[in-house]
Amino acid sequence: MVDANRNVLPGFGLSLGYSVLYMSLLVVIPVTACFARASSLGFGEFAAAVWNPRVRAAYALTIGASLAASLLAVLFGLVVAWVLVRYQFPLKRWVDALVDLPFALPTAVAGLVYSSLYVPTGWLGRYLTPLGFQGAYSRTAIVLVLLFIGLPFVVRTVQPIIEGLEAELEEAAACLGANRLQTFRRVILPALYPALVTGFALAFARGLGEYGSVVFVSGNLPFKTEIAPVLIVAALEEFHYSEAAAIAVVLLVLSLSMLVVINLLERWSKAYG
Amino acid sequence: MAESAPAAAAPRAQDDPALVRWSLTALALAVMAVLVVVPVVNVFYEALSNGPRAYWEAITGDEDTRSAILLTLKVAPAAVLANLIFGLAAAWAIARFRFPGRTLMTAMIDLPFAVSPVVAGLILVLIFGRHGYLGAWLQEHGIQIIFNTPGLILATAFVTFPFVARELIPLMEAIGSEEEVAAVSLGARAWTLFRRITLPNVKWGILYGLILCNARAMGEFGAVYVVSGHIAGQTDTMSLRVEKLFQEYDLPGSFALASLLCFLALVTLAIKTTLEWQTRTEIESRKRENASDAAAARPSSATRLHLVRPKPARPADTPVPAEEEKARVGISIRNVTKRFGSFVALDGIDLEVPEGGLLALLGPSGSGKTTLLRIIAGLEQPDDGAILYREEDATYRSARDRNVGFVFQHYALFRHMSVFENVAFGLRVRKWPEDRIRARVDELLRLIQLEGLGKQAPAQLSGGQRQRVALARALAAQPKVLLLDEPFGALDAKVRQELRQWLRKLHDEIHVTSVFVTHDQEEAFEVADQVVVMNRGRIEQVGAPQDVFEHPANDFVMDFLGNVNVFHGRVEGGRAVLGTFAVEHDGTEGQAVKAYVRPHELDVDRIPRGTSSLKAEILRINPVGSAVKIELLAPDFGVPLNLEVSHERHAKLRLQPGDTVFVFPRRVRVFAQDYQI
Repeated sequence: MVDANRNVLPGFGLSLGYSVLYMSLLVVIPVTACFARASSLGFGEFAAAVWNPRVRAAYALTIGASLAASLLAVLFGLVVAWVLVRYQFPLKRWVDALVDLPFALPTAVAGLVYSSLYVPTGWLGRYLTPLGFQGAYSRTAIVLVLLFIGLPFVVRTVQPIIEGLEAELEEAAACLGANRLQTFRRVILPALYPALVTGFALAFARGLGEYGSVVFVSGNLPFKTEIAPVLIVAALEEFHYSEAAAIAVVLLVLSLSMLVVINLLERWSKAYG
Repeated sequence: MAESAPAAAAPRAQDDPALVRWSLTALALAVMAVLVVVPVVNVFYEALSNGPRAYWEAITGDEDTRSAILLTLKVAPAAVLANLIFGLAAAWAIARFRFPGRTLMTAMIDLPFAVSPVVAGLILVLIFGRHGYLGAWLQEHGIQIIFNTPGLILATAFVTFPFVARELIPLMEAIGSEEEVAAVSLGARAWTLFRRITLPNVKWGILYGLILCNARAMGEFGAVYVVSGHIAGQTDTMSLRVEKLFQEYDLPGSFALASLLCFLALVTLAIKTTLEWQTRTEIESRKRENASDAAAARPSSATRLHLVRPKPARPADTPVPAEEEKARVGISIRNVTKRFGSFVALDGIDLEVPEGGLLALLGPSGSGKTTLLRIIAGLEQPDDGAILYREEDATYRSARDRNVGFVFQHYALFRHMSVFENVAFGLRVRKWPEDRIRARVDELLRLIQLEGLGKQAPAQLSGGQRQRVALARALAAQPKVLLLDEPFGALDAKVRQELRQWLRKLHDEIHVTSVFVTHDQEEAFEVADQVVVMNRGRIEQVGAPQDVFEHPANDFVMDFLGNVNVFHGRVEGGRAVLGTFAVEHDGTEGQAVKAYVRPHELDVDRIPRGTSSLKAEILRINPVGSAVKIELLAPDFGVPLNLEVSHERHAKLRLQPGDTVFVFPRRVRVFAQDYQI
């Protein structure tokens, strides 16, 4: 290994050794333990734990809500990023700074306030509930709070790409006779695709695992508004460790594949740029 | 059609229509308001709804809330510190060394971003819990991790461990290791190296990572929820306490604590934003230092002007009849003025480009030549004056309605489209039928000698090939006018030479009215029918290359055409007296003058010839090239002189460095000194 480092800088052994040790103790070994624990179940038990109707409903809700929320995040995130880069308006820097709030705000706070805003007596619920919009203790509530959490991922991935777009490309398109819509669709949007997809994947991955905010707003009704992480907590509280581990393995596999996808996407967009 | 309404100008190519602008801004602000602003305001409103006294009571009066705050203040810093040390080590290993498994390790660092916090908590319970793998052993030794502070710290550390490393790795990669290697070569030991070189370079990155890490650590919920066991007053962090109060229907208490967390989040944001603004200002100032003059002459993209869109005067895709009309004027530029702030880029330019002509705009950086080209294209609007295409006013037509071909210095090829699609772009947006597009693109690819490369991506082509594709793309829709901005500026010398001749040949074949910008006089003289020399937003001279070279209109043109000897003197009795020699010149008595002599217009001999000779000492002789270049110093002027003699003359005189010789100008151009400079 040292051979590969014909490098005069010191500290390779120490820094690599320490970080590998730290990661092993904190992450790698525990994750392995989770797989080991789940494998202590027989196949039938494992299948029963990860593939019964209640769990299936929870997966479907987790994936469906994350998907819906991250698609909305892509749409709104693109608009917000575009407006922040291209247009001038008062308080723009403040709006720009506020985009990061979901990164910094504890998810429990987000859950608490979202649950209070959309109930029929809440600030937004009192106008929306009469219109038939159930923004609290419903699936919609889950999508809303996941949208809140996912939005900055999209904005912050797309924004630098819009900033870096060469003016020359748009000028070239205009000189070639393209109108603004054609330029956007055929020149700008293709340049933003990799960033949009990466932002989508990040928001989606975050949504799959989100727990804190969702338990506040969803009501956690089995088959209706119960997400997969809630099942893990429920299993734990009944001391069904192996069943909890089994569901966790499914979620882990899902998030590991998301991680691979995100890494591939980042490499793709680098090669693309 | 030439209304004198300078406000009603065409939009810039990158500007969206006002309606789009307003509605998108409104939508973005609405999204931000509903998703972010209203919730934040609501937290504080609910927390304070029973008055400040009740708020204070809710936070300080409840013993369990107090201990939750204290616990969070213990857990978060511990986790952040552990992750800081890890982050530094991991960043050093990953950013500074290559080793097998490096990519895998980098990807693994992101793992906690993808793993559900609940799963993170669970796997800790599976190991350290009473029924976990280490549970029995831990119990024997009286160590309790789960349902205790160490478990909370572990869970928090797991969830937040990427932040510092994630921030530092790209930063350290961007900074590079040059400084560190230099320090090592100067004898620095590891600790000194880290403390004196690495740490100062990445300190803002570390701070940034710490702030993000801390924010997440303070607010972590899912992972600590699983490992805490919810023992009130002992294992409830702030986030957990918020949830417990919520479950107990103590909303005022819950919101009071939540408002504290929200306040911390806002402080985090404020610090983070300040740091970002600072780094951004720093990066921008560095960019500005490096910016080339050409870019500096253009307005920055930050100062966008939003202009009203006019009605197009004529459909854009009217095909142009390819008849020969030599006598007609292709483009007229009438009294065009353009300012960027207080900088006058163009000052009353008048110019006519004959139909089918090939004209070069030549001048130094910042002379306004690129701005003029962009105004002709409609990419920039003049503050005053008019642009006419074939005697038809085009001043307020947008770029897309002018049907010009524009070739950008850096090609501006669409990198996600193939060569074929790039060339076809202008035809597709004009809705040409597919078979005509195919025929036209094939024809153009033949013309630029890139047949068979249509399927390639622009990135696969060489610089010269890309520039040819850019040219083909510009010509595809049969533009009335072809404009080229420093078309060969980004290419190496040999390719540039080839492309110049090729462009000249191409123009002789297709006769499209063309204007190109260059700062290279050789390029202008070799390619163009007509050369326009520009300086400080004005035209200094217009003429055929030969005319401009033989009869420079003034001292600027003479100077700019380069490599010339300058003498300063004064008018005395109908002659310009320049130190020891004088030439005929009628000017005001006593007026200061400058005299210019090109190197090949100076002759040299070993003996003086009358009054017009100049004594000089040879400094250097360079015999490489078609002529022998000699550098001399004239003691009477104290200035170095350059002259060129033929190899025959050099051989005859047998000149050596250090020889004293006499120099005679064969041709002198005298200009009155310009005192306005």
